[in-house]
Amino acid sequence: MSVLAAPADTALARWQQSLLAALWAPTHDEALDQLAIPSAEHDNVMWRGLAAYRSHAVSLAARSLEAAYPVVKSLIGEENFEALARLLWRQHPPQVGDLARWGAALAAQIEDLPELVADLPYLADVARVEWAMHSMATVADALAVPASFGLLAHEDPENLRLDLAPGTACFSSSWPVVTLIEAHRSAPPPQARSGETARVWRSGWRPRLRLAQPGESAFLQAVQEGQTLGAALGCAVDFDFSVWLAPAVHEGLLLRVLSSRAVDA
Amino acid sequence: MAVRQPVSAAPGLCEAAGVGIGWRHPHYGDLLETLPSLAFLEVHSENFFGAGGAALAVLERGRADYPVSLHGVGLGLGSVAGVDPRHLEQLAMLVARIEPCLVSDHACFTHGILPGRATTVHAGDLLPLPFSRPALDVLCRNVQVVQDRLRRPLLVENLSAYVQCPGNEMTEVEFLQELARRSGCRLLLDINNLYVNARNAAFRDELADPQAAVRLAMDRLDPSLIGEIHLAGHTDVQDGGIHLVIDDHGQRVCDEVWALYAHAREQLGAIPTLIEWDTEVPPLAILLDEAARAAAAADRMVQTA
Repeated sequence: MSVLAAPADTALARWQQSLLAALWAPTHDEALDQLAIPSAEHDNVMWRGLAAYRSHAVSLAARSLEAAYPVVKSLIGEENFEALARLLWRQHPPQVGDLARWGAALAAQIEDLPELVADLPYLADVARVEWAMHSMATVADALAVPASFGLLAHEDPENLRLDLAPGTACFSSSWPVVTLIEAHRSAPPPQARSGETARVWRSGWRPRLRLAQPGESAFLQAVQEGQTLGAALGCAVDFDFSVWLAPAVHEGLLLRVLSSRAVDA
Repeated sequence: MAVRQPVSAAPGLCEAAGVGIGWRHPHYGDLLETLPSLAFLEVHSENFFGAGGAALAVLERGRADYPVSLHGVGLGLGSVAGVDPRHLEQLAMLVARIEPCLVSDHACFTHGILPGRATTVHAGDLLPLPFSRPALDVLCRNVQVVQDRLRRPLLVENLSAYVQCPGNEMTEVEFLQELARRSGCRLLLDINNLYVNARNAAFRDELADPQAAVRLAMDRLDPSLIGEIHLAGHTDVQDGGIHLVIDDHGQRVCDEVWALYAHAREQLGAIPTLIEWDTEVPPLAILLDEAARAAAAADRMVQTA
């Protein structure tokens, strides 16, 4: 990632490595060892200073992650969430300075914890949907072109392509992820029922979540791969475009219809 | 390498003696609705790194009414691993979009290779450097990379440090001024950080009078190198009889730092000044009250001049 070759063997490089190692050390004693602070000085301000950096790292990890995963936090409680944040910080440390981008690995981290998976088997799927909604908040804006929707009425679907909202994606789960997430934003959690496919997208600036229609996942994937409307409909035989269209326009999922004939012309 | 002369940012210059506030999420709406009189707004650059979205739109609305200063916390200008080119590109895009009056970051390191791991980690914190020649070399190279890309001078801020680095070869003021002279950057003087460091040094019995120590340090500053002043509050913590002052930006500016600010204005003249508040952010009115106090201190200077 660097534009400079790291001079690994200088005193300065060793200092930076040892302070980073002290921040990531599992225990405070190991952290002190990293900085080679003599034990006689453990009770001085230096000791307290290192503790300040370490506790800042932990609270920063929890704060950053909470911004992305409010539902995971509410499902497992604050104390467990902080422990999970600490674990992720150690196992999958941030690699970039924009901490809003840190935390993509939470679903994988959850799946590495058999007890958590046994207790809350849907938690990793909830995390996946929440990360998608968090990430889409800062992607490039896109405006709808309502005048283009008329093409749907008189053009051959084989000549049309669709532009969808920023962040559009579907997640199929064996668990009712949409119901779980919506319930944790408003009311108490429901009884787990059958699996659901979540559809997420950004409506204007707002990340949104809906239960996907039957076949919608395959349809949207084909659209996003750049297939024509006709071909995309062919990929999703149980998908009802006529039911989909009006809410897709109304909710800002469908932004624009493009005609390949117009491009050719 | 020739010494680079600072050049002015063209659009939306911060008024020379003006006072601004750190504009944080809880005040996005309040500020845009009330548009209080402020010389500029300062935001954390990294919070607006995306290509779009609501936060960036809010910043652009703020920019329509105020000069905006972009204050970074993630470049890690003192990191031996170098500046992350992706981070720099995102900052460059934001600078092109917002046309800030000032662009700043810190004299610290933030990232590097963890022993035993292949990838770079970013600590998300401002980690201290020794005041040494090798640290100056790294800072100067990285500052130059950033200034070359942004095609404008940076402001580099002194930081609060809670552990002492081995290998100091000069004082902090000498270190920062050498950085400015060599790289052509200017300095963002955080008076609270100087005071926090001095108080922690006093707890280590390294000095007797923190306020006097900071005054002395500021008296050695070359006024022409200072581009902005930061003021913030700090918190005293005590743990098993060990005192530490933490620069948490979670309080009003303390009286000692106000006195040091008045002294700085005498020494350094009119400089853009910022009130920062990042932890337990209070109502906007409290920040505006602090900003008014800073502006009044500046006015007193003008009247007595």
